[in-house]
Amino acid sequence: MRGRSPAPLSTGSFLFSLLVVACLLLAAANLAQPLTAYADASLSKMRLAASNEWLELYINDATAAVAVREVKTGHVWHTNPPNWDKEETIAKGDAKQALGAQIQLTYYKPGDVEIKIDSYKDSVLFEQHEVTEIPGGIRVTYLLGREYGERAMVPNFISRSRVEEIRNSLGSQSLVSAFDSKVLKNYTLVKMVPLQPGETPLGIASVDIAELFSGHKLVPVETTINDTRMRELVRSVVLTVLNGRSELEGFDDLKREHFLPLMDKEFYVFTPWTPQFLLDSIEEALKDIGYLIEQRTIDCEEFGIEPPLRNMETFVVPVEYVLEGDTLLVRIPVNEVQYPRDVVDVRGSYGPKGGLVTFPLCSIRVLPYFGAVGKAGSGYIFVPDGSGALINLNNGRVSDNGYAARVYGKDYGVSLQKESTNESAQIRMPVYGLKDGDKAFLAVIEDGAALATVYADIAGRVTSYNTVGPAFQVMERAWTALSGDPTLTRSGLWRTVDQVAVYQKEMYGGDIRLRYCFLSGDEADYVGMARRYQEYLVNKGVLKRRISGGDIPLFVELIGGIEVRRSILGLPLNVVEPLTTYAQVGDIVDAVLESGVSNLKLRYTGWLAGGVQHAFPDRVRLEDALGNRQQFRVLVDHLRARGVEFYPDVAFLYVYRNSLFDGFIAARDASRTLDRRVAQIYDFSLATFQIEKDRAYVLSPRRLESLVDSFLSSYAGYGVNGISVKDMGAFVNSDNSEEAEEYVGREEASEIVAAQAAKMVDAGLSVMTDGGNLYMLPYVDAITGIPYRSSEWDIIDKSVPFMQIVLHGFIDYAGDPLNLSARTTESILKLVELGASPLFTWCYGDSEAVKNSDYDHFYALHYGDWLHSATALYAAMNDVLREVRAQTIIDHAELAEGVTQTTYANGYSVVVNYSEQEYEADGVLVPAFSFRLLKGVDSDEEQ
Amino acid sequence: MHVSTRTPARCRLIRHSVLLGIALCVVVTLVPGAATAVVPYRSYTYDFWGKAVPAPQAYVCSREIYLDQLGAGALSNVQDFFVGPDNIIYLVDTGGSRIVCVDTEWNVLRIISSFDNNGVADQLKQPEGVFVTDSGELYVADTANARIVVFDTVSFDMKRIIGRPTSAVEGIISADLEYRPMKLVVDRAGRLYVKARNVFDGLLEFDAGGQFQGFIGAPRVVVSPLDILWRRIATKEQLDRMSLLVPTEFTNLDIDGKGFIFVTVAQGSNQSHEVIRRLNHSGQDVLRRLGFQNPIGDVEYPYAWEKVTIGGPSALADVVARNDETYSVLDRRRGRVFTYDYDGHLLFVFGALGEQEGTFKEATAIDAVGDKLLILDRVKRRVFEFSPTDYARMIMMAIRLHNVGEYQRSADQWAEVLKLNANYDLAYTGIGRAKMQQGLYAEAMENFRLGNDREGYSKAYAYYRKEQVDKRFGRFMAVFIPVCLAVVLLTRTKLWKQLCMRTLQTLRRYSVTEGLLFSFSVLSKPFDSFWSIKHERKGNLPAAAIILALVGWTYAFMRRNTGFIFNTTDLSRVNLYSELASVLVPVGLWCLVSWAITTLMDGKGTPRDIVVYTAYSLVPLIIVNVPMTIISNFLISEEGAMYYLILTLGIMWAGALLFIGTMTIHDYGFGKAVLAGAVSALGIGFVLFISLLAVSVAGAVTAFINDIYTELVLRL
Repeated sequence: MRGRSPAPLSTGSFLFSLLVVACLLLAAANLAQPLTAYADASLSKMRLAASNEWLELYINDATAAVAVREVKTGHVWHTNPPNWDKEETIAKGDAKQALGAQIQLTYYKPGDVEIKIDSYKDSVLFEQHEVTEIPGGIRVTYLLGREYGERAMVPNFISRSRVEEIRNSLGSQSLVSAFDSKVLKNYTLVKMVPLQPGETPLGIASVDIAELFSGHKLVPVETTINDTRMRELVRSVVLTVLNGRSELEGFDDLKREHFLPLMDKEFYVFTPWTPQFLLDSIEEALKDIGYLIEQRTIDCEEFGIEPPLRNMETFVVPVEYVLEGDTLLVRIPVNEVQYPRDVVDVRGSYGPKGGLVTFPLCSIRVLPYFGAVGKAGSGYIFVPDGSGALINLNNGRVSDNGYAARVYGKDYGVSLQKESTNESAQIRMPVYGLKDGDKAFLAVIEDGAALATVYADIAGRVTSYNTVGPAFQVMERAWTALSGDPTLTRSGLWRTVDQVAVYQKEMYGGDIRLRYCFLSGDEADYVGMARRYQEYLVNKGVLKRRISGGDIPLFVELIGGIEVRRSILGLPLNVVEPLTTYAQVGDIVDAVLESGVSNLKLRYTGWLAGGVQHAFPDRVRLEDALGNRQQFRVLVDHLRARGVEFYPDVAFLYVYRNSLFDGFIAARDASRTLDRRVAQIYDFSLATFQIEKDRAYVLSPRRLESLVDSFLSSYAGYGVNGISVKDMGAFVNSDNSEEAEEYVGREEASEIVAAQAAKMVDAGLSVMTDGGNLYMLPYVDAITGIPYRSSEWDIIDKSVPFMQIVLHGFIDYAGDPLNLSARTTESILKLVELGASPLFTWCYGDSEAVKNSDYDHFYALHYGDWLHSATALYAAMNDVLREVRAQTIIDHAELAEGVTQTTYANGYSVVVNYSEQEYEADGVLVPAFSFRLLKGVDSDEEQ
Repeated sequence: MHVSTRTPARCRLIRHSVLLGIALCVVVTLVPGAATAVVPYRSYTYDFWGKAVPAPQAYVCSREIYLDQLGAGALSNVQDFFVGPDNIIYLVDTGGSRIVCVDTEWNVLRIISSFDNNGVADQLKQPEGVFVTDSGELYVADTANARIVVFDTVSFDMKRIIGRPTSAVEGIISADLEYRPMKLVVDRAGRLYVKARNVFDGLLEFDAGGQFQGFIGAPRVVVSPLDILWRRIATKEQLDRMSLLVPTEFTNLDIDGKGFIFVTVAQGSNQSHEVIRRLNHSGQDVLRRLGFQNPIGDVEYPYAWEKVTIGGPSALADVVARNDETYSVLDRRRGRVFTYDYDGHLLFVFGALGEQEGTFKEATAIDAVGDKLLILDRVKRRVFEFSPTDYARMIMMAIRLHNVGEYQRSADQWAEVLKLNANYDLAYTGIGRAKMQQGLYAEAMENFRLGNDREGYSKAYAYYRKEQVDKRFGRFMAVFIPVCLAVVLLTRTKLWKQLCMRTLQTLRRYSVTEGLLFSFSVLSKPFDSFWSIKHERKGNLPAAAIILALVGWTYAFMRRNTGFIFNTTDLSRVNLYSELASVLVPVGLWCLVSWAITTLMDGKGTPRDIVVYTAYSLVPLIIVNVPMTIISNFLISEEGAMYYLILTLGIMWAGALLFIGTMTIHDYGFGKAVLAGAVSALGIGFVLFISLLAVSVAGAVTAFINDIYTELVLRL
């Protein structure tokens, strides 16, 4: 540095000033332009396709990339990262090109070969997409998969008259000369002339040219060609004829009549010595002058050869982008999606010639790179795993797997389970989002949620971008064993020969709809996303306020009877062991109420005949071991008099017992998996993960409606005004029966389940459920088993209470039973942080009763062990949470490590300290493992 | 849109700061935060029958430490770690050839890679193990340099180097041994125990001066008879190809407070019940194995060849000796940690493989800091900190209280554990022990019964019985003696004798009852009676059927009503039908085969004779087993020998009758009867073999038909 002379410095400063001037000039030029047009450089190649007060929709017709610009903030959201071709450094080849795609398809070739194609590499690059205007937006229709094979449009023969015709139709001289130089230059004009007597024509091996050409020979017109090249030309002519007639197998099949159409005219032959790399440009040039399949067919027919075949593997997928208010709606009408189904395999590529083949289109990934952020981004991806989870952008966890989880969890109606290993939280709300700096988007899966899998990934693993987006399983697929026990596990990696893939018969027929909402500034975080989603659900009528205030509820679940095995007179029998009889329920309730609990939500599980795993509920059958009808009625009246909300639990989706004459016939009423077996769920060994025993049949959703109807009509006679349907909010199972009228897809199944819940509401029942899948929200008054956290996959950085922010103040919710979970302080603190109510699962008798039974997972049930501490805990929680019970959460933040603050709309906030140290800030002191209710200084004015 | 009142920085308190401390104390003891909602694995223990039963979570992941983010650069291959005194953690970065010392907050204190070796700069090379003594010496197994380097933990200066072992006696250390020390421990006396690669003779022991002393703890080689047979008949080439019968290798070791060395043995050993050993100074395994099952990790597991994702027994990678003589072992195969108490009872299980927080890809090493456990994952390059839940704390507390003799408080603690987990057998046992200390034998017995502790039950019952006898003997005798006298006098009266005669006459009138009465004469005069079965048509088929049914019932009765100490069946599974079948099928087979054989051997017995004499021969089983079953309820385990002896005598009696019957009915001599019996036994075996074959063929045929059906349905 020191040795540097001053001269370059002055040059540098000169250059710098020059640059400044240039910049000023450019800025001035920019100012002159209308501000909206090119506010963002990334929009420069796009055109404005639609706009409204809030949003502008842009499209690049050449690449089909779409962008949305927020009018107010100027934030631009791209379906594909602009400049991906330059910025992408990790993915190569096809994987890199995928970044230009709006949709990606997964389909299977015969032989179960998985093929992934995308809208960029397999459609846009072939210019096989079409952009049309629709009200409020645009529609892009992709034809994926090259329509004709490579160089299929380059004719081998073309007659002189046709060439003249084409040239004349071109109009301008420049086009004609372009045609001549790019295309015709690679052809040789030839004709057939009769052989002189005694002359032998230039031949090729194993073919009698003189015979085939009917005593003619091929000669060039207006040019001369040496013998070697002439021989190549003859060979090319013979091969073209041979390949052009599918009935011919080899040279031996060639007859002289096959060549008759060549006899009487001068025609151009494509010169076989043309370099391969020119072929693309020749095809391009032909395409430019409109020489497409129609023209090509004319030329083929003239020479009696077959026109090029369309590729079998082509798919049509339309995607619509519509601006609706301040949201972008993306829709794929799946009933307009076309896939090759029973197409004729003319060439016999997959079996006998002329056979029918199907290429099942299984999955459609939609806008996988919407809003994708590169390595410079700062923010996070939001995925709805469990309560909600954040994946920090560029978190560097490149050795962990990306995020992928099915909305509403596993579908037990697709294939039989084999093993059950780790526990993970489910997705209950079909949303996801991404925050980058001060802007964020939230995407809501409106239609097709039950088919969706949410994928998210960080930059540095597969691509240089952080991405989040859904894929839709429009056609289910499963492996099945052809021999042996279908429930024996085979690891996914070991595909053994005796397994075949089975596919759903019909593709999903509904729509796929994604709604993108955009957030900015303070709202651009997970709280903002949750509140936006809440607003959306309220507007749609999904979320209704069912809470007005008052004490928080205490959720108590009582276990009625369990089935145990007993040896009676030496005979092993299954008998129902009463854990809490109808009369004892009243005793427990009285004890709870007497200890100061005013709001009790009581679920009664195992009250029907058979206990917890009760008989087919086509009507109310009380369990004799628990009491008689009279006792049950007394209980109901007693509970009503004491103001206790009573929710007897019924399992409708699973059938635990199958006896004769109970109205359930497994072969008829259970779901069928894709391999036509009766769908079942199992109990698994904790240690080996293997199936221990059958637990229940999966009831077909098509049978659900009549079952619920008949149950409700019988239930009405008992005067209960609540019902608990634990499994309806936690599971969605399809029925993959082969017969079309019995088949129920998963999306439809979720609608059927929701319709049943609606029916219960109409019957005047308040409904309680477990898990809280979205479709149940319009109908439920209370949810248990709401996840406190996400599954904490390795790629996830943090769990957030997204679900609770959406639901709080609208519906009461509780987590898992406190007495059966790992009973730690944090569990309780978590309840307070999330504004949840405590849940206990109890029974009247001793806990030992479950020992050595199938219900040994209820290992701490005796209510007497818990009553005192439960009511004390309730009192402590109620003291704080009753103030905010009917309020929505407006903020949630981590004040320090292990200290959270949840702020409610009325300005109250709850600070929870999970750490071992007491927390003190701004005069607020929260002891270790404790919580405090605070009131914001200036919140009164806002209320 | 919503009002943005985010982060109310200044807040004022409106409510009394909820005295949550108190409120929560009511519910739980205060415990540092631990994950609650989604724990990726389910916890369990094994019950008496070896079945995994659910249990509350014992340990949950409270922290994940990314080793690459410690500030010591990328830790390329951390093979092991050690928690020293003062809770300083020594990470063995094998790939980086260094030892990284961190404190409990994971701040890097020191990195040891090169050192001053008496004036010469020296370096570690791919070390694999480390140990720190209480006296402040850091031993590093400098694996690739074939030596052990000892550092001072204060100055981190090299103190000495223990090189390749040398022995005065030739042949102990093979000259071409590639010495690669891997893991080591040092006891209080400064003796050093080293596990080296490719050394199968056990641990190398060095004295405090670094002099090689010999091997200890060589795992015994157990050679099965089949192995010996194969080795006899194999050719030399085949022998060479056969794997050597070498003792199994240790995977890792730890030393407990009393100076015993815990070692884990690599899976694949043929001593599968001894995969954890506790070695004393002379290398003997003194591990107590008094639990329901041996401490081997998972008791239930699918075999490796089954079509499962993870098959095979637990592959123990490391062991840590913990407070109160408990110890935890780490299973690499399923990523689980098993904790046992001093006696080898399984306390709890936690951990899993996976891709969620607190799950492993390859769990490599385990160590403890206080009551927390640290687990190293070599592939994920993380250390997981697991904290005990209240449940685990209570269990550990109960054990500690018991160890210090506070039995009542221990029992109270166990009672708390039971509130959390009614499945927990050990808690019942713990309460039972305390009850016994207090002299509450009946309650102790009940708890031992619930805890399936037969030994404890037997001890408690011994006291209980004594107590009862002491208390009631006088009263019992006061009733018993007069009653006996009265009965004796009664039987002397004429009236009684007439009554007996009349009853007998009535019974004799019916052939069935007469047939049943005949069994008494079989017992008293077997030769005569069997003769009269053959020649006087004594005994009959209906009576025989009743006897056989009674034998079947006897076994069901025994299974159900034998005293708890001698009865290990799951009572809820007792099945009369299968008990009946277990008697009738062998008897039927015997009759059939015996008839076939004796017909060929000039036997004189008809099928009727055979059935009848067989049934009568089994009568001793009824008259011995039924009373013994009742008596067994009043016995303790020390008296078991007598109980089993009498049961055996009963069987022998029946066998003798059967033999006598065979001789008499078929008119055989002694030798021929023996021959007939032996051939019949062979015949039964043959019939069984044929039926097994038939069953398996039938199974194969149905499977084949089923497969064809599946294929037709799915492929067409």
